[in-house]
Amino acid sequence: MTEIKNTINTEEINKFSRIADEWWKADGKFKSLHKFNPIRLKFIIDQTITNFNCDQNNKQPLKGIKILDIGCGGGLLSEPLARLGASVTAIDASENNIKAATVHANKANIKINYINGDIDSLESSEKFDVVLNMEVIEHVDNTEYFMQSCCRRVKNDGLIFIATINRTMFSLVFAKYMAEYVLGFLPKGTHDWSKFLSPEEIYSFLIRNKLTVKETLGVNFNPIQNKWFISRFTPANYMVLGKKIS
Amino acid sequence: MINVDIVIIGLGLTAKLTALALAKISCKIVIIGEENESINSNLVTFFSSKSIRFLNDLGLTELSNQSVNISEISCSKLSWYKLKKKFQMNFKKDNNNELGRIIQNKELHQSLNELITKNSDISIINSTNIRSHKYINNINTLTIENNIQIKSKLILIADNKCELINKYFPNNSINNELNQTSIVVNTKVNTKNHAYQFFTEDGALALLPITKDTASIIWSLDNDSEILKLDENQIFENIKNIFNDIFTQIEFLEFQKYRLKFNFAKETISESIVLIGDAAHSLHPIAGQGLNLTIKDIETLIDKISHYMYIGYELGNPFMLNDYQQARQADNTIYTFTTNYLDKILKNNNILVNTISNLGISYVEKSKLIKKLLVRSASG
Repeated sequence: MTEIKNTINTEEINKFSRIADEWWKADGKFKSLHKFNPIRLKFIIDQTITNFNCDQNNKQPLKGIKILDIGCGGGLLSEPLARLGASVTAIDASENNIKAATVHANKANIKINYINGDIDSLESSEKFDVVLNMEVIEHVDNTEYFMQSCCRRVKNDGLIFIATINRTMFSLVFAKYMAEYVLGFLPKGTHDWSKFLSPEEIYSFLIRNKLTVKETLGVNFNPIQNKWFISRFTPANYMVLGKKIS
Repeated sequence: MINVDIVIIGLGLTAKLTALALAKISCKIVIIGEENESINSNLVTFFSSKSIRFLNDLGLTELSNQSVNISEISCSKLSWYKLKKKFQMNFKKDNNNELGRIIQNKELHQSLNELITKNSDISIINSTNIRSHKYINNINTLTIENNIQIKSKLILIADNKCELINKYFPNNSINNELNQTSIVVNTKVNTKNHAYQFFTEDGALALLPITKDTASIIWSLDNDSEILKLDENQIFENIKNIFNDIFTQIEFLEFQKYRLKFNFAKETISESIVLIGDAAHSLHPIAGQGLNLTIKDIETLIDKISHYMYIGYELGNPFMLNDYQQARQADNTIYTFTTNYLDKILKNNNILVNTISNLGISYVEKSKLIKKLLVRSASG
């Protein structure tokens, strides 16, 4: 780990370490992330299958695809992707998260390369077909450097997925206060609104790092159906897909 | 030791249909159960057009093409005093709207058995004796006779007598002892593919065409009904009287009695066990929706399983099961309760209730929109 350009905010690490054991409980603290997980996974898998022309009829359609999951948490994305045949490297700054994720993957008999650290802990030349940057960037201090490091890890013609929360009045009310203090979807103090980024800011990071923007989707919550759904509405949660041009 | 994806407990129509549907999405399945007398019953089932599409997709096109395509359904209230019926509600088949088809249960059993025998992904273990069940590390281990162990990721219970129901779903079912008995009479009659439903004071009576010149009559009666005290021939006479202005000739072939039970499970999932079909909801046969509801269950289950498999989740994961239960519960509750109340209302002798139900029926008859909706929901 480099000391000088450390992208990890220590306060944030402690916060998630406390709740690491809760990761895999369907009705635990991460219950809203679990509700949200199938939607983001479907987006990742759909786009990966299309981009790399994977064989959909194969039981492991992602065989041969190298994926980097940054800020993997309990492995909510890494495990399903590895089960579909991808070779997954997953990093997280919290030792507790990595421990919890490793224990869980072993139980499920799934092979994932879990690393405790940050993106600089990887071998400097290592690159990936798909880089996942899901709900991470809003917890990072030096976003400019962080995005540059993430984009550098994408192979030519490879993909990067970024999911985060827009910085709008809507997201301040719904994604921050309603979600944390009223509805209790997230533990209090999970997010710092001032760190949220707009899609344009994400595009600018991608373009500066020689990637093109392929897709932007809003991820919205329907309180009546108690379900997340995809739309073009992006004032709060959204996902961006970027592709490295060869 | 046997290792499969899914175990299905029960060997009724639900179990067989579910097994074939799951095999289509390449799951390995073991069915544990024993064939009971229902395989030889003279019962018939009404399948909505949507259910027929489901059967065809499983490879039962030949059977469904041979079955009777209902041309018209007439519903009316019938009073003993006058023995007069006004057809207050008529549903007719048109080009865009098939009403549904009627298939004999034993023929369906036979065709399903043929398909299952040919399917290498499905095996059957003839047993009803489950010694123990364990669920460790997301794996179910069932022990049956001769200490045979079967490991699976998901268990579907399609037999309401299975002991595991008491163990994992205690105090779960709303059991309404219906105190009713169904009389099933197979007859020789030319119906011109026209089905009838009468609401008599003793209970609902349906006539469903089976073939060109045979039909099945299902009469659900209260256990204390005078009709049940009559002998076969006297019951035949009663039925003859009901139909004497409709058919010139009606001949009686077979006669069977079934006791009816109403059962509705509040929860249909527990860990990685799911209740399906009659184990989750048994309906009053009045609207002929029982197996159609089960088919909707199966279709939803297949849909959820393939979705979660596509996104890399383990089979039988709690997220999929919750999703399934959420998707099915509203539909099942509405159907089960309305079908039971419809019967209670329609045979009530209270004048007020009677007037309302009469008004209800004639209103429905007049309102094209409501009728259209009814036809659509009944025919799927």
